[in-house]
Formats: sequence, structure tokens, C-alpha cells
Amino acid sequence: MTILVTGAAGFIGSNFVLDWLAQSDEPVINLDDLTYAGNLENLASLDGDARHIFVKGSIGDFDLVSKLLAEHQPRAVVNFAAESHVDRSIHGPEDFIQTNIVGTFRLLEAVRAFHGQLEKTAKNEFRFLHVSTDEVYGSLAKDDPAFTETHQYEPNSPYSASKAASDHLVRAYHHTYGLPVLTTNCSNNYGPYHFPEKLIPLVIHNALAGKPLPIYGDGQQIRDWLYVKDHCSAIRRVLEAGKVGETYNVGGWNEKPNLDVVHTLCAILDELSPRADGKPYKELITYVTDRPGHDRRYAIDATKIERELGWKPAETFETGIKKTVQWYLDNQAWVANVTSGAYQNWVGKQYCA
Amino acid sequence: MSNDLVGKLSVVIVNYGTPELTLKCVDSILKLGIAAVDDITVVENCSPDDSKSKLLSSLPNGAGFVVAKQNLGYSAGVNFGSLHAKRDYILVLNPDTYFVDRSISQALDLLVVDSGIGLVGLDLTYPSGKRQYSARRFYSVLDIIGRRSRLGRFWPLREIVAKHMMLSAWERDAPFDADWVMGTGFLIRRALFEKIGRMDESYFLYMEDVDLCARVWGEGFRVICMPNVRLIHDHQRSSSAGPLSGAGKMHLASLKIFWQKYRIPLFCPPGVKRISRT
Repeated sequence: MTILVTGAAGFIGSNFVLDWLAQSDEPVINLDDLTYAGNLENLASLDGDARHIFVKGSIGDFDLVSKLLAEHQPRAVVNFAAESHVDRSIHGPEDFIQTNIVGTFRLLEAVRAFHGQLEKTAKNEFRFLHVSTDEVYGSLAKDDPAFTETHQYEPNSPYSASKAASDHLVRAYHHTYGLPVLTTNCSNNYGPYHFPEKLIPLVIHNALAGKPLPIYGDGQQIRDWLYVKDHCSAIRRVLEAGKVGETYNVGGWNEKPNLDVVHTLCAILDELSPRADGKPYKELITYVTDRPGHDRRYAIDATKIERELGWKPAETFETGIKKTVQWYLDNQAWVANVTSGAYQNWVGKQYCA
Repeated sequence: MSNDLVGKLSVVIVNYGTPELTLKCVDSILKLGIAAVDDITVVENCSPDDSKSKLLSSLPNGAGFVVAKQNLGYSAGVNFGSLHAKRDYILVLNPDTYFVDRSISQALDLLVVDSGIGLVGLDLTYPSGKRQYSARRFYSVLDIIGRRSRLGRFWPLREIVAKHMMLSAWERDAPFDADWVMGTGFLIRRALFEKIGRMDESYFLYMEDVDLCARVWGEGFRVICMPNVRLIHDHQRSSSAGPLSGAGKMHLASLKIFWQKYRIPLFCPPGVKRISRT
């Protein structure tokens, strides 16, 4: 059997493929458009591995996806492909609408046609797993209960609105056409191969370069942090045992204000890679104007996946963040490779204090 | 003549440091409708240059792309790519080739109607139109001396070389049985290719095609060459620089491996009946 993984050269997708092939011999077709956040170097350790084939292309290319499905006859499609950075969605929503909404729609159409002509057993066993975010649920006040799967969708950014739309389409394809879908909504991921536009890798990257560590507003935006490999194991579990048509929240049970995260990172770096002048990294913290519509708090209630599927994260924030910092220290070549000229321009535009 | 080539062929191209040529080859396949883009697999055989990023940025969407962990030679590259071939026939191409017409459909037609044919060699041609005579007889020691030394230009070796290169067989302009055809561009039945164990990876470069054809014959299938089924091979024959050049040395190393696997008679080529692994 085979699975088709879209967006598998991106952060979560590449971790998923690496972990998948570490625990299974089932081949992976990797469909990725290699936009700025997609990087085949994430999968360089699979060079020479016949279980992985890369195909450059977009989930919105109906003809291409149809051909790939017909050729490889996958038993499942796992959809990671998305434009994912909230800040970028504020500057340019168009790509988010095209990839996340129109792209998902075209992908669903191709998968629906493929699924429709499968014979009975294959048809019953086929799965379309859609990977989404907790940001579709909107923002919470400090003492609100965490998001459950039944929380109303209240997206606030073009990014979360586009993901919400895609979730709705996935749901509709189940109810209307009987497509066997599964949806996961995860909290903030962190870990190896994270593109350094996001908070954790950005802070590590800037700290090591002796550059300012930008904090939006008061730094009291609260997020739940999920180690990416825990996320991947959750997706494997949902794919294996999830109930068709259901959605599952995936969280790390680690709510932290951004400022605490940055302080933790600084302390770990002080220990693992102290500055030449002996000063603490936290001196590099700089406060910048908050971004528009910045959600105050996301918190995810991941009780359902634990109760129904027996999944829990293996890492605490403390263990996961330490592994992450160590990974970045050990993989500076990867960081140098992805922080190209285009990246520099973006960071310059985004975080001018 | 079949008009619909697409859907019948899987294509494998092994790139090693020639991304522009690889792209040109892929482009010709797509423009002429020889294979669908998703039936093409490009193997990046661990080139020392920026092949990987160039191919990733310029290969058409939908083409399969696999990266070898290290360069284990041409055969290993072809085998790695062929694991992703799904169609009934595999077209193996060097990156320094390209098509200018759809004459390959004749080769495919022949494979479809004649189940005794296992492998078809194409008519390799320089961009100038000059034919490369890409079919050969199996080697005798005299053939090797004739091909690898200056003596081959003179009587009597000259006649021996002409026989070895099957020059007269081309004159009829019709498909003919060849002991072996060049691995630069050929079509093979996928089931057969898999059954005989694909390319022999003990060869780094050269002689892997001779070995493959010998095994095709050994399996009871014919190897044929088809004049006028054109594949342009924009080739600087590096091994002709002399036996002590890098390519020449590689050729001799491969000959040695071949010699260990097969009998090479002194004068009289073994022919397709008597070629077999020792």
C-alpha cells in the first residue's frame, strides 16, 4: 500500500514523512509545490530511500492529483499542504485563499472521483485526513475553557478563515458525497525543520546571531505548544483508528505566554551555547508593535483523542523545547540553507520595531 | 502506428551533473507526447554540482524526482528510478539525449505485437543527423583490440570492427536482431526487466548494457535494434579519448568485470546462443 502526503516538504509534513518511514515500510508519495516554506532538504536523510518519491506540484492541480491517485492507488491522502503563516496572510491573503480554500477544494474533487471508482473493500478502507489548526476556533479570554471539537468556528485572520473554509469543505464532502474524511485541529507546533519565521525557531536563530528577539505587544499572547513529533504520532493514530467524519483536537497540554517561551529559550541557550561576552540572551528581547487582530489566547482541549483513541503527547514543553534547541544547534547548515535572501527581506519587512 | 503513447511508457532518466540536458530531454518527451509527465522519473544521482536545486526549480510539475544517497554508478541510478516505473514498458534514457519525432511509437507497436522481443534499441543519432550505429555483436578479444586501439583503423581489424558494429545490418532499414544495443536509450518490458534482476550494479559505467542484453537473450527474449526510430544523442564520446583517460579506465574496469562473468573468445564472437554467465 501507499499513502499520498501533500505538503510533505514543509515543516510538519516532512517530520510526518520521516517518522512514518521510521516506523513503517509503506511508501510515501510526496506532493509539494515547494513554495518558500517547502524545502526538500528537510528530507535529505531519505536520499537513496526507494520508499519516498517526490513530485513537485500543487494540490490545486486537479489533473495532476488525479493522475497521481490513479497511478499510485494510495490507501490514504494526508493533506498538510497549506499556506500557514498568519503574518503573511495579513500582508497577502490571496495565496491563502487560493491554496487553502481553492486548492483543498480541487484536491477533494480529485480524491472524490478516485474514491468513487474504488472497489468495495478499498473504498471502505480509504481515508482522507485533513490537517488543520486550533486557530479556526478564534480567540479565548484568559479564563475561558479550552477549545473542544464542538467549539464554534470563529476565525479571526485570513489564515484561520481560509483553514476554517477548508475544514468546512472537508466536512461537506463527507456528508454530501460520503468521502471518508478525518480532520485534526492542532495547536502551535514546534520542533526540527521549523521555518524560522515562526516564534521559536526565529528566536533561536536571532539569539545565536546576536540579533534582537522581537516580542509582539506585551508578549502575553497565550498558545498551546505541541512538539511536532507528538503531532505526527497523533495523526498516525487518527489515520489508523479515527472514526470517519470526526474531528480530533491535538494539543500538547502546554499553555504558555509567548514571553515565557522566549525566556525559556534564552535560558536553554545560556546553558547550551552561552554568548561569548557571558551576557544572558534575554537582554536581546525587543518589544515591537503588536500585529493587527492578534488573538490573545488559544488553548486546546485534547481529551477526545485521549479518551477515544488513547493518544497523549509524549513530550512536555520542557523536554520538547530542549530537544528543539539542541536540534537547531546541531543543524546550523540547514538553518543557513533556508535563511536565504528572500527570508531576510521578509524578516526585515515584518519585525521592524 | 499507435497514436497514443501516453500511458504505456514509464521513463527513467539518471542525471549526473547535467541538469540542463536532463531538462531538455524531459521537455522533448512532453512536447512530443511520448509519455505523461507523471510517468517520468528523474534520478538525481548525487551530482557534485547544483543539479538538485536546478532540477527542482525547473522540472515540470508532476515529474517524479528521487535522489540517490551516493553515486553508485549508472546502473544503480537506473535501478533506483525504475522502482517507480508503473507502466508495461520502461524507456531508459541518458540525459544527453532528446527526441525530435514520435518514431518511438513504432518500437512500442512492435513490442506490443511481438511478445518474443524483450528489449529494443533506438537509432542513436548525432544532432547533425549522423548515425551512431548503436547496435553491436558480443565481444571477442579481437573486437576489443580493434575498438580500443588505433589498430582498428587498419586491415584486417577494420573489417572485424565493421562486423562487430553490425554496419551492414543497418542498410536494410528494418528492425534487426542485435547481440546488444547501447544503453543510452532503450525500451524494455518491465516484467522482464524485473525478472532478470534489472541492471547489474557491479558495473559503475559501461558494459552494463552488454550485460543486460546478454541476460535478455539468456531469458529467451530477443534484443532488436530499430533503424529510424530516432533518438538524438548529443554525445562527446569521452572514452574515445584513449584507454588511459578517466572514461577509458572506467571502460576497462567494466570490461574486467564483464570478463569475470562471461566468456570472451579470442577471435570469434560468442553470438546470442553461447553468451551466458559463467
